[in-house]
Amino acid sequence: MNKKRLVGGVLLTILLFIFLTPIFWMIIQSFKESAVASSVPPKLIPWVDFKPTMGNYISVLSAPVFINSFINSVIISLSSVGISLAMGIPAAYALARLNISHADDIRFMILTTWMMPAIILAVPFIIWFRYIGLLGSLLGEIIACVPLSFAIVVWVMESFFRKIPTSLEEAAQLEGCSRFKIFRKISLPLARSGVIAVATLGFLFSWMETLFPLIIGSSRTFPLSVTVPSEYSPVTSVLWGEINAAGILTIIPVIIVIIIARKYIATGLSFGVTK
Amino acid sequence: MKRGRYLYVLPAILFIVVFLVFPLVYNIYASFCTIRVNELVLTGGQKWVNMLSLDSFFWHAFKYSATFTLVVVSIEVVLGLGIALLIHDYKKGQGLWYALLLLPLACIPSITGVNFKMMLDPLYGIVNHILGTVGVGTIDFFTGANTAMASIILTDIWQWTPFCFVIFFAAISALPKSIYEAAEVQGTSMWKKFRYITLPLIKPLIYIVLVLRGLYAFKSFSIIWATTHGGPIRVTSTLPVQAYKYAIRWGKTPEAAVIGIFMFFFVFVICLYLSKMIVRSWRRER
Repeated sequence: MNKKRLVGGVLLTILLFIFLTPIFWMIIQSFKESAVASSVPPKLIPWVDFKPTMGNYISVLSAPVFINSFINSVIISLSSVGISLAMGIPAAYALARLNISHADDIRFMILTTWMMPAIILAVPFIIWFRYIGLLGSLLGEIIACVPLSFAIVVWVMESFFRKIPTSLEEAAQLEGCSRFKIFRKISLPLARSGVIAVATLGFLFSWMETLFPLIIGSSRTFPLSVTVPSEYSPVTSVLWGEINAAGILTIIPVIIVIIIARKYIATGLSFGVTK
Repeated sequence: MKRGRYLYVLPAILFIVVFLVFPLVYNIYASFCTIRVNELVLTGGQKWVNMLSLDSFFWHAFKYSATFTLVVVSIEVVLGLGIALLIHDYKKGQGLWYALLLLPLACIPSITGVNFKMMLDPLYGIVNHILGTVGVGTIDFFTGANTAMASIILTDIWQWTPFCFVIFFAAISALPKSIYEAAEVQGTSMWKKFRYITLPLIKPLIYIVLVLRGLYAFKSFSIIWATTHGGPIRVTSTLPVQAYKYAIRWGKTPEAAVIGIFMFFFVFVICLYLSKMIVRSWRRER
């Protein structure tokens, strides 16, 4: 028994080491002045090998580009998830409970949108958005990011709605509740952890999306996922310190979101997808 | 209103039309066109013949895509499941391990790519520095034709294994404890418990994770683009990278459309089979 624990513990520590080291390295690099950060050989221990500085963070946080991209990221992610939820949850409920004809086909076609390679969407979107005047706009990017989360919303929420005992809904129906009322007052609240789970996942997928905003957006509407990789690495010299600081700063909002939603994700995903 | 329930799916149908039907139709049309004076002109199946002929780069790109997807997905699913099982045994500190292992998911892939590019840089990178100290010598990683693909596979594994882990962990946590207790009383070994209790119960979920990760990895673009731009000498130019270059860099929409349509139908056929299996396992539960 004890040997098993030991082996397990060692394995876990190795895994943790592998998964945390790159982030750890980013943190160390972010506290170095850029010249020091690119020194050969690389310096490891703060205060011993090099002088840690907050300069990079101050520089990044006061750059209009960063602040602007941050706001863009938040707007794009929240809005596209919101749209996905608004369109997807009713659809999931209908597929689960409302006896829609061709339900299998609809379900599969929704999964198919997840299959689409980005370029197949991007090229026609460029043309249509240019025609409507949405090219380069935030709204365009928001619309383009909806497919990232829509399929997951529908599939997971459908699982959820199926798990709700029909007896509850039938009882409400006997009392004369309209279908919409049942949906709103019974099914939806019971599936709440599922909603939070898919909302978080959808937010995550939009937050990290680089291709669509890059193609559809313009420099004033680019989110963090586009600006951070390119802004701090001009051809001449990479601002090592700042790019790492910026990278760490993009992680923090996600961590906050995950911490808040964590409880719901764990119950949400498992409840929705397994027996 | 007897047909009122269709209002619930109306937005979804609209979504399907806008994000599936129109783009597909457009791309199929474009793949039979040529660009003349900045306009698409219908010219016939020439692009298809060119792209799919045996000596075109297309098939190399397809090979790179397939290799990348297969390797990455199999490793990530196995690792993710393994880590989930491992952590699940530890009641104490579970939350902490979980939170820490989740961190790669919080990173934006393109930024992960830049970070790994810096870490694995032949000259400035910390990894090569450590390798030099232990006497292994410098590895080219992203800049070497032999090592570039392995390096991006490594990066992707780092980025996405936690995704598989999170899903599997949630699933294993939700399994009924009673069966395990019964098995424990009977003295069943750890391996037998996994093989005959855990595995069958989460099998549908394993399929789902395989499909989700497989689809996503096949269209993966951000990490590859951020680290190698498809190079060196195109050894990491997967289909999505090629399509991007055709569409955006060279303005050759028809060729990009050919790649896109090919990718789509290739994946479509595979998913058709897999999703029928998943729905069938659902129906069995009911």
